[in-house]
Amino acid sequence: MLISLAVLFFGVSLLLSFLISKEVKKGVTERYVLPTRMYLMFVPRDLVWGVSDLGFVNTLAFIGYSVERGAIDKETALRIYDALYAVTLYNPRYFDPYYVGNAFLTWETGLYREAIDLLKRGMRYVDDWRIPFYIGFNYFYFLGENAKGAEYLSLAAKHPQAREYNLIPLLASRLYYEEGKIEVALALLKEQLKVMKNESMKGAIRVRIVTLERAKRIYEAMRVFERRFGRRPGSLEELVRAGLVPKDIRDGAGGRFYITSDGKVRSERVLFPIRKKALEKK
Amino acid sequence: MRFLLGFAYITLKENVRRKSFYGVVVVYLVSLIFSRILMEFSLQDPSKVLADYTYSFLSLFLFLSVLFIATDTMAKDIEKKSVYLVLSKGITRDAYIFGRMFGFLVFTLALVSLLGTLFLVGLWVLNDLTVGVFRKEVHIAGGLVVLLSLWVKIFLLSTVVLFLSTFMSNFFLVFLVSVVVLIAGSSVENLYHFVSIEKERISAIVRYTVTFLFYVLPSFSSPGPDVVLGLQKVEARHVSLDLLKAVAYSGFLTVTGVLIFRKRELA
Amino acid sequence: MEILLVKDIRKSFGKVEVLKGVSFSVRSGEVFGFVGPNGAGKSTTMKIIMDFIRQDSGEVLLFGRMNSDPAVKRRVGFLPEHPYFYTNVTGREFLRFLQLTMSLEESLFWERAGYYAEKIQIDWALDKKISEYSKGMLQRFGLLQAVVSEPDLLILDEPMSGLDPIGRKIVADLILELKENGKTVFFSTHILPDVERICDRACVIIDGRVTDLVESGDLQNIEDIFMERVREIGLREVL
Repeated sequence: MLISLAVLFFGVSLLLSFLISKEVKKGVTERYVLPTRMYLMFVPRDLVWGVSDLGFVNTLAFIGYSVERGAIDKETALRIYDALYAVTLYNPRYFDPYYVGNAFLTWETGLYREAIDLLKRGMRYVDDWRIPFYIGFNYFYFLGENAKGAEYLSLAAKHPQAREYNLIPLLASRLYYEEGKIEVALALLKEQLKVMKNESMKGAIRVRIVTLERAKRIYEAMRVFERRFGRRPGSLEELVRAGLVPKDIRDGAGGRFYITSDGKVRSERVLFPIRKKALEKK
Repeated sequence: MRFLLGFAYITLKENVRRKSFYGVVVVYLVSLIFSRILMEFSLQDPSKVLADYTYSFLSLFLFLSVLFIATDTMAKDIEKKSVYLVLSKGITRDAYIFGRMFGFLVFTLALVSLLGTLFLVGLWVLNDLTVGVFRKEVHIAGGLVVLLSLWVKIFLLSTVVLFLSTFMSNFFLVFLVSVVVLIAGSSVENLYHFVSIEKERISAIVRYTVTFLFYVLPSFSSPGPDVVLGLQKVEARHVSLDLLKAVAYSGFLTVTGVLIFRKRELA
Repeated sequence: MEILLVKDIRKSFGKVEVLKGVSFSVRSGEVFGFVGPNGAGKSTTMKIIMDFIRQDSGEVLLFGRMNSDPAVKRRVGFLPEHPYFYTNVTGREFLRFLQLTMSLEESLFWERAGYYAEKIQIDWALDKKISEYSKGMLQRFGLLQAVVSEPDLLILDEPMSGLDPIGRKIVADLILELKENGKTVFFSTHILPDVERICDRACVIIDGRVTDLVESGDLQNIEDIFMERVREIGLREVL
């Protein structure tokens, strides 16, 4: 009799749990699951490690839930940013929140400045090349601030863990080039060449160095031309005809150079305009 | 000074035979496995997540064990009057308090050695065997610094209990106040940090109150799991100052406890 | 020679005056009974003698010195009314704790412990955990911890409490043996026949006052004296 009663009670409690679970799902709100700075502030310091990790898992689950529901409004996105900020404030050496923050806040919600803000804290605490890389990428790709992008990408490129990835210095050098800082781009690439070990990776760097050195020579020739003729050259051929650059000048990969209408030196194979979509795929 | 040995002996014998003592060890082993499961939620930092959880569980179990055991030990002495048997042997009240303090010092060392070894070995094995490409190394030296700090902090908590027991007879009250001191002492550093960086936004009263609490409350935090993984260097100056404060605070509580206990009516 | 001198002690807990000027003395080598009903102030007096609580006024001298002097306590053995021991240790481990805290010479201590444990018939249980002891065993073990250092004065609060007749006889025999060996015993009790049997002198305490000091010649009448005093004061709860 009593056993049946106990089983009955347990059965009822299971049923109630099922009903409550529906209520809980219905009421998932950012207030319910997202950690806040205020909440974590009162968690004992020794427990804040585990609690903030759990807070991050909650945030991640909430992001998944929100993405599944469709478009995320700015207010919700900012709450998620606050949650990630809180987690990284009390557990600043945990990489995942920076990783997720970068991916979610930029591609999904457009909070580029907030993502960079979060990542800059990460740079202070986490010794990982990806963080300056993300910052640099966000500056260049989303905000169009090539100089800042190049600055952070070169920091990533110099990181011991990232020395063998030639994509970072290549991209950084391109951004410096776009900003007219060819000397800085060359210095970065040459320095990178010294520390890299992988020969196939070095190959692309050498090609870029050759290209940039030749582009630099063309720029110098353009300046001489301008002084001599009082106008900018209309094409590379004019420089060749003036004897300022050799006839067969090519980029490191064998592509031809050309001068754009706004006076920018580009080449067919290396110094073509940056195609962001192509980069995205990489 | 031989009486200190007597107290160390009885505190160890009395407490390592508790079923709850072994319960804590078993539950901690389970929590290591649980931490391993929680690690699966990490995207690119599994070692850190594993260290965070195993450390938080270690700290939680150490502080809770000491809280229960120290409160229960003192309750037996004061509430149930075991202290009569000690004081009637010509042991002075001062010697009793110092003896109990020494007993807790030895017991907390035993506790932190046992659970700390499980923590370091557990973390090392789980990290080495189950974490793949994003693995970070476990630094034993860093781990030992963390355990040393935890030992000093749980000893500090035991002296809080000892101090409160010198003037409170009720087990539950001592436990409750100790919990409040533990939570306040553990969070006040966060609060202090917060009011320091948000000076303009916080009212002067709150700022002064938090600063006051920061100065007068004991701090229970330790360097944390980042040191064990080598993500954070041991800040020698900060850690040393923090440990010295804990030792000084334990000394303050013990001596004040002695002064109060001298006057205490053991009715 | 007076080993214990209690002079006009008074003690109040809040507004309730528990001891109203208690005075008596215990001489060297005698067995002194302290008799009174529940709540008369026996345990409070003993706690004051042991300096666990402090009297509001009056004086307690042990071996001619203030009772707060730890050196004189080393010459005293005490059994509280409800001895509470650390329950997770064995009897032997608790004795080891005493030996260490009192810094007693090890071989002599264990020799004495063995002797008295056998005498009190608790030797067979010394390696059991104290939590497994029955009430009577706890009482006997309490007595063992009081006598093991062979103190000059034994203060026993209700030593017969919780003991069966055999246990009571064992304790009574031990007290008499200690007396033969020149020790002094001061004990409180409810059990008047025990007083008659083993005491040299006794005093009656009722409602915080010592009403009678009963010398050896009058001990056979202690029950009558006690009942008469109780009737006079009108206490309902006796024994």
